[in-house]
Amino acid sequence: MGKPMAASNLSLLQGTLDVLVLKALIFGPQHGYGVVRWIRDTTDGALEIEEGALYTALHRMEKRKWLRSEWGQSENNRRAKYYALTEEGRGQLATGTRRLTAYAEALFKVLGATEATP
Amino acid sequence: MRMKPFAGIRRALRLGAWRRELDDELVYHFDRTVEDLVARGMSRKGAINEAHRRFGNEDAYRRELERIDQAADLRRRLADRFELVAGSAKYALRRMRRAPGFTSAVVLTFALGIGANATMFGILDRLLLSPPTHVEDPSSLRRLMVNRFNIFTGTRTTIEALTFPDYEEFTRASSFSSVAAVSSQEIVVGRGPEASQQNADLVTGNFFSLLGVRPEVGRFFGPDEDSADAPGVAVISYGLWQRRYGGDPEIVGMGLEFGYGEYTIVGVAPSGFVGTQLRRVDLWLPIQVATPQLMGRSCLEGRGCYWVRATGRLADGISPTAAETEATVLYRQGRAEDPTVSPSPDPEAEVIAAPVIEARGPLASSESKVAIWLAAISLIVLLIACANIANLLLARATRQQRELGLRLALGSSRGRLLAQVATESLLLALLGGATAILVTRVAGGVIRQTLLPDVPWDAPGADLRIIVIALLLAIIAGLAAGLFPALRSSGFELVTTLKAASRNSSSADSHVRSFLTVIQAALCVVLLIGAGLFVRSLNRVDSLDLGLDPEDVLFARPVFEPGVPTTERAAFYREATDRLQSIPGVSAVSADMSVPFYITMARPLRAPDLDSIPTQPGGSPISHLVGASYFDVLDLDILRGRGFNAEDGESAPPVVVINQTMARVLWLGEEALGKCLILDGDPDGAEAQPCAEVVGIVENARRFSLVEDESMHYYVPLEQQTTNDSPRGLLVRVTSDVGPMIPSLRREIVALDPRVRFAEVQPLGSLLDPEIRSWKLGAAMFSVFGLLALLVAGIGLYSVLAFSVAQRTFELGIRSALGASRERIVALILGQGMRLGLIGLGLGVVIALLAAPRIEPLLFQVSPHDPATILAVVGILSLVAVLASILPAWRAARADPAVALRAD
Repeated sequence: MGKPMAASNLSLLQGTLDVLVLKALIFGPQHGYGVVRWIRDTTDGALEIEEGALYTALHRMEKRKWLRSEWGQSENNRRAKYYALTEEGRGQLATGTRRLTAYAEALFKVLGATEATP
Repeated sequence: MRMKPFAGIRRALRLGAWRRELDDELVYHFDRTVEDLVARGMSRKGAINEAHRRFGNEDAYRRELERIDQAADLRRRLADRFELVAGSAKYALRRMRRAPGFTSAVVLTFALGIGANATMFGILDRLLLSPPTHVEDPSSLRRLMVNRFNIFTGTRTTIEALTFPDYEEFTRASSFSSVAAVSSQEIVVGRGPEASQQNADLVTGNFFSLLGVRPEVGRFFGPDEDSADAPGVAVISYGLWQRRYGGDPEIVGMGLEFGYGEYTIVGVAPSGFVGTQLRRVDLWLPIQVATPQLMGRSCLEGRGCYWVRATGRLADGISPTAAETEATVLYRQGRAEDPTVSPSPDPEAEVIAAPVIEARGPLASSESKVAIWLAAISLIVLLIACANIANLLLARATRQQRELGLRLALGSSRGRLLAQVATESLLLALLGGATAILVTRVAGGVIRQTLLPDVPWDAPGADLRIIVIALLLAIIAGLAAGLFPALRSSGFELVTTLKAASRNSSSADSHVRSFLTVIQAALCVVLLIGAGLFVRSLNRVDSLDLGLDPEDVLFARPVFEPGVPTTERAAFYREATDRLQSIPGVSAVSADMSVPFYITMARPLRAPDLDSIPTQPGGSPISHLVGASYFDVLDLDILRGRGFNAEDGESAPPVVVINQTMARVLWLGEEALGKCLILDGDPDGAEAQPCAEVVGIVENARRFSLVEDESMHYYVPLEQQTTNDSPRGLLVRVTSDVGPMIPSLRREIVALDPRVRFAEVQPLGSLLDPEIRSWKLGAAMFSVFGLLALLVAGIGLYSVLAFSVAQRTFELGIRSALGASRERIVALILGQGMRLGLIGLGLGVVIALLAAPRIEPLLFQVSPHDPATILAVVGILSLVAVLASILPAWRAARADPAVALRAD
């Protein structure tokens, strides 16, 4: 069995990953594994996002200062890198959420259409 | 898959911390994923496979993550670096504001040290370093000079002045691709009140192409316009264009009226162009056109006038030595073949091809030699300044050891502290550098105008270079002065510092500070001795008995328009003499053909009762054709016999006055009065010439310069001489203030005759100025720098002692408590100060004595070992040492032992 392509089940708009990751951190600082786990659990694995892509998003956003990181003690008493939202990150999350919601609504309108275009 | 071993290796390889963190993060991720899957019942092997499947293409993601992290790491490090610098600067600025006294002392010291150096650099740059501006490839240009026997001085000398035919010989040399002639003259431009005197260079037509200069406006003239019948054309300098024409772009084609004819302006030279020498030039004229008007054709044709300089460009691959050899052959040949050459051609004359930068050639001016010394002085001043600043910074670092120690204990890194101290001194130095640029602008301007007025300073870009130099010096000086204290303050031991900082600084520290103080004192002594020697030289020059007294004597030179015959000029001088005589404030006037320091001549002379006229080291007898009041005007004492009077006219029996030396050399031991001299007599002529009777003996007087060999002089009344020449100028002794007399004399002379276009009037003494200038320069600069150094060294000594007293309060308190009297404590501190001062003094005197042979040629009748100067400096420095020590000593003696002991 070959490796499935990233998000083969559902193609994601660019930036969607970022919004998901930012959203995962809205409840408080979390390490990378925690973010991955939250997204998998919340979507019931439906999105099948490659986890490497999530780490890339974390690091990229840290570089952009949307996130800041700190090494801390994990729940099983190991050293782990924790990410937290910065003010800028919160702003990006709000913007991203609005954009995605608008997109999804538009998509539903099209898919739920009952009449053919005149 | 275990990643830890790789992480270990990476750590061992000391790769970036970010890489280790990435490793750790991913290891954690995989470990947790596997753990979770196993907990859900998956086999370990299955779990590992699943974890990797979920992660995706591991290698690709890892590369991407590394790329991002590396960039982020770089950005972070840059930000940190910036923050460190900005933070240090902010901290430094805060500290500087907190101690305004300290800050201004350091900034001022830097400003003076750096300012002095930048100023000196500006001067040296112009005198020694800069090739002439706008001149192409100056290294292949050569100034041609001749080393030959000089009949006037009786010695071999190198002179740059050539006759025109000599120059023409050089143009035939194949060693040069081209040779140009230049003659520097002063001419009057315009007429009446508009008239002004300008420096003109008469040049051959190949001059501009030889130098490779390009015109700013219009064009230059070429060889075809350099012939006697060509119309007059002129090139003016950028400066004259701006001054006189306001930079009018329509300048080409305008007429320019000289006292000698009309010229048309064809072009403007670029700003700062002065040819190859350091003299302001206002305009250039074709030599063949202008010479006949200015000085007569004869100067172009015969070997009688020495008036041009030759500049040649070496042909490709020709060495200067080869060129000298060829030019020497041509020079000797030309002279040997010329029957008019008098006296007989010098078969040993040698041509020297000197570099164009004057200060590097054999005729380097004494100003440029003094300037080299001044550069050395200003470096010394900078050293003193640096030593003083290092001292101040060190004192502060010691005082703040406790604070620094505390900060180290609180976790500041040594590197950070070092950066802070270095930043602080650099900032101080840059502030000093900025102030120095102001100092340079002011001081440089003053020095240029007062001490080196003949040098054209308007070379473009010079100011920018000086600013760059000042800032470079500031950075170097700042690092030098700051680094040492910085290293010391970062190197001390934390614990001992915290324990003992307030009570006593380490002894190594105070040794260093004492050493710096001694060095300052020593350098200061060297400068002061230099200042003393130059001041004494200047005094000697001033009090020199010139024989004649140039003070209160004005020299007036009317400039006639062309074509006024000699006889009419002579008549004008007679009239002018009478007229000026009647002006209030004028005591005596004399129209003369020889003027001291300006023009004299030697003419054939015979004494019937002697076989020949002996020559002297000072040369053959010098003839002076003078007005009747000449001796009165110049205040020359008639020792025996009489001077001239109104009766010694054309029809009266011919008379002559000789000087002491001539009386002694010609008629040793005999009575010279009443003897006969045949003037203008051809050495083997008949007795037809009348006898001029020696009627007086006058004291010796200088002829050309302050320092010259005794020579024989004789004086003849102008009225008794049949000569085809007119006087060269008027000597006027005034009884009132010289300044206001100058314009009124000028007005009077011009008003006498409309054919006089301009009259130049200047104090006779000013003709000597260029000669005195090097001593003035030396005396002024050494004195200024010496006093500066004295001040800085005095403050340095004071600060060392004051600091030492503060540090030793505890010790002094104990001494006092144990019964040491106040006198004893004063003596202790005074002794410390005097010891430092005296060691520096001794060292300085030794250095000065070692440097003595080098400075000797620049002095005037003063030995570089002059004991009076050295003693005076010893006295001054001791006094300063006492003054610097007395306040700290007094403070030490007044300290209350109880307070001192309780202080800690």
